[in-house]
Amino acid sequence: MRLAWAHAKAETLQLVRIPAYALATLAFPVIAVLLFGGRVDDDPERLVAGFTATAVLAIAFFQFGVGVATSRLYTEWETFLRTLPTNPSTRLAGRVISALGFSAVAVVLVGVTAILVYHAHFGWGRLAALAVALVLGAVPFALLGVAFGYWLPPRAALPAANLLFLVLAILGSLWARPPDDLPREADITSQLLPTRSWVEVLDSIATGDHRLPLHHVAALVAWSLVFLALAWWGYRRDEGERFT
Amino acid sequence: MTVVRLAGWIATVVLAVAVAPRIDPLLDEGAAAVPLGICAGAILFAVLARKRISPAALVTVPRERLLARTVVITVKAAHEEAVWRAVLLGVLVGPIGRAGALAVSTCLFAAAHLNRLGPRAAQHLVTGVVFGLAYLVTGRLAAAIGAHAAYNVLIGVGRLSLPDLSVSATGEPARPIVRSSDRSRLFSPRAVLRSAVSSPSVASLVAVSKTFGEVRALDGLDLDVRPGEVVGLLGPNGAGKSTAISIVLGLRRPDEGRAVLFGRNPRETGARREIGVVLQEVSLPPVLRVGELVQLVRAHYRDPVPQSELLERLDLGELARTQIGGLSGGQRRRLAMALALAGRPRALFLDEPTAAIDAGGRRVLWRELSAFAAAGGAILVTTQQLEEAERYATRLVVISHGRIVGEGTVGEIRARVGKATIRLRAEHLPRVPGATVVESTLDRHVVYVDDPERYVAELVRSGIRYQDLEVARPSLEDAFVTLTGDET
Repeated sequence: MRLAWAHAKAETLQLVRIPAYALATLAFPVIAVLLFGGRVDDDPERLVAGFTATAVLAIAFFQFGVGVATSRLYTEWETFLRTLPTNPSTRLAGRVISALGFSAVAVVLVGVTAILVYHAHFGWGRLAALAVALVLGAVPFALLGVAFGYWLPPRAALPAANLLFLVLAILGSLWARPPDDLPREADITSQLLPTRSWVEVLDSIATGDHRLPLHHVAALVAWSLVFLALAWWGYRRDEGERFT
Repeated sequence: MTVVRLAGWIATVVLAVAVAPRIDPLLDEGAAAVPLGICAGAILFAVLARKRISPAALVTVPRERLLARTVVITVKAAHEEAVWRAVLLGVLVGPIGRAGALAVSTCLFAAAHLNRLGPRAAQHLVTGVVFGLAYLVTGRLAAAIGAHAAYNVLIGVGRLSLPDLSVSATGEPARPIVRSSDRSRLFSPRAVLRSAVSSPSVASLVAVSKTFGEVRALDGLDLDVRPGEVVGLLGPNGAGKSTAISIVLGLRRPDEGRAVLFGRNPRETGARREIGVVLQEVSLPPVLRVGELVQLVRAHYRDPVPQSELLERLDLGELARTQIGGLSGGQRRRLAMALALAGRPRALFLDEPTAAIDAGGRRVLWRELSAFAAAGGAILVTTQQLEEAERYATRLVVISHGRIVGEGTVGEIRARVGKATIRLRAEHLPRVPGATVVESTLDRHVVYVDDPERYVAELVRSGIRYQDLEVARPSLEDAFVTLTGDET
C-alpha cells in the first residue's frame, strides 16, 4: 500500500508539472459548466451532478487512457520498473489513487463554480454523500481508461478516447437530463451506458428528488468488474507482446 | 537481519501457544499428532508441487545447509501456523463454526500472500485448508506446524536438489556454499544462518534458448554468476547479450531452459528483492526531480540506502532538486546507477553501463562497481569496452550468435588466441621449450612463446647479451575477433 502511494505520488507530480495537461483537465469542466449551464433549465444541483461527473470522466479517460498509452512509449523506464520487486497491481493502484486525487480537485472547482454562479444549494450531508458517490463512481471509468490505454496503440488512443468520451457524455445525459419525448430505443440505449447509471445515482443524491436507483448502482459495480478484467487482460497482453 | 526475524517468529509462536488455549475451545491435549501432520504435508507436496526430488542431485547439497534450511523453514512454518491457525482460526471457530472458520481463515491466508505471489497465491487456498484441517481434526497446533513445515521443507529441498541448479554447466559438482577451507567458520551460527538463506549461485541461465521470429537470439546458453564475481558478458552487437540479461531479470521468458535468480524464478517478486539493474537505454521520466525519482525507487525496499548518501556516492549530491530533463547524459547514467544501488542489492546487472558517458563519469561508475564487488556483491555486466572488461571483470564470457564461444579469466581468454610475440636483438638465443623462432635476420629475432615470463627469465639466466626486448601479448581485442569471428 505504501508502495502504491509512492507510485501515485510520482504519477501525480509528473502530471502537475505539465501545465497544459493540468490546466486543461481542471479548467475544462468549469468552462463547460459556464458555457452550457445557463441554457439548461435543470436544477443547479443536477447541473453539479452532471458536470462533476464530466470532470471525473475526462480524468479517467485522458489521464489514464492516454497516460497509460503514452507511458508505454517510455519503454525503457517501464522496463526498469518491472525489474523492481513489485508486481503490476501496485502500479495500477498508484494510477487509480492519482486519478482520484485529480478528480477531487476538479470536482471541488466545478462545485464551487455552480454554487457561486447558479446558486446551487447543498446541505453538508448531501455534499459528503455526493463526494463519496463521485469517488466510488469514478472507479469503473478509471479502469476503463486503463483498459483503453492498453488495448489501443498509443497514437490511436487520444482521438479514440476523445470520441468515446463524447459519446458517453452525451448519450449518457451527463450535460442535461434526457428530454421527456426521447424515443424509447434511445432511452434504453442511454440507460445501458455506465455514464447514465452514474449520473442517475448522482442526480438522486444531489437533488434529493427521488430514491437512489439501486439497479444503476448494481450496473456500476458490474461495469467495474468488466473494466477491471479488460484492464488486467490488456496489461497482460501488452506485457506478452513486449516481455516474452 | 535474519536473526532478528527468526527471533520474531519464535516469539510469536511462544505467545500464540500461551494464548491459544484460552481463545480456542477446540484445542486439547490430544495424542501426538505431529507424524500425522507431516504425512499430510508430504502428501500435499506430492499432489500440489508435481516436482520430483532427485536423490542423486541431493547428495551434492551440503548437509549443513540442508539442516539449517530445515530449521529456518520449520520455525517460519510454526510462526505462520501460530498466527493463521491457532489465533485466527481459533478465534473464528466460536462464532462461526468449524467449516466457516476454516473457509474464512483460509481465504485470508491466501489473500495475505497475494501481494507477494500474485495469482499464484491461489494455491494457498489448498494448503491453507489442509493445514487448517490438520489443526481442526487433531486439535493440536503441532499437527498443523508439522504439515506446513513438511510441505515447505520438501519444496525447499526440491529447489535445492534440482539437478541443473546444483551442478554447474560444465558438469562439475557445484561448489558447496561453504567451501571446505571455510569449514571452521561454518559452525558460527551466523554462517549457518546465512547459508540457510542464501543460494550458491546468484543468477544463472540453464540451457536457455530464445527465438525472435526467424532470429535465434540465444542458443542453449549457460551462464552462472556467483557471489563476489564480476562477470563480463562480451560479444558483438546482436550476439544476444541484452536478451540474456533480460531473461535473467525475468523481463522475458525463455523458449527453452530456465533462469534462476537467488534460487528462484526471476518472475517472482521476491526473487528481485536483492538486485540492482542498469539498462542499456536510460529514459527516466523527464519532469520528475532527481530526489523524487530516488524516493520512488527506494520505496520498493525494506532497508534502502539514505537518499543523500546515495546521491553523494555518485557525485549527484547537488542535483537532488534538479528535474531529470535538465541532466546531462553522464549525470543520467550515474542516476541510473544510483537507482540500481538504492536497495542495497547483492547482485548488479548492468547492460552497457558506460556507453555514452564521459571519462569522469566512467571513473565514478567503476569506482562504485569495484567497491560493490569488493564488498562481496556479484556483478553481471555486458560491455563492448574491452579495455574496461579487461580491467575489472574477474571472469569473461564471450558470446556470439547466442552461444558461448569463450569463457575464463582475461588471461585465459587471451591464451586461447595463441602465443605472445617476443622481439629482441641478440647474438644468439637460449633454448626454451615452447618457444618457436619464426624470424631471424642477423641479430634480430622474432620468437613465439607460450609463456613470455619464463622465456625472459631463461634469457636473463643464460647470460646472453640482448637489447631492444619487446614482449607483445595478444590483446583482448585480438582474442575477441578470433573468438567471435567478427569485427567489434
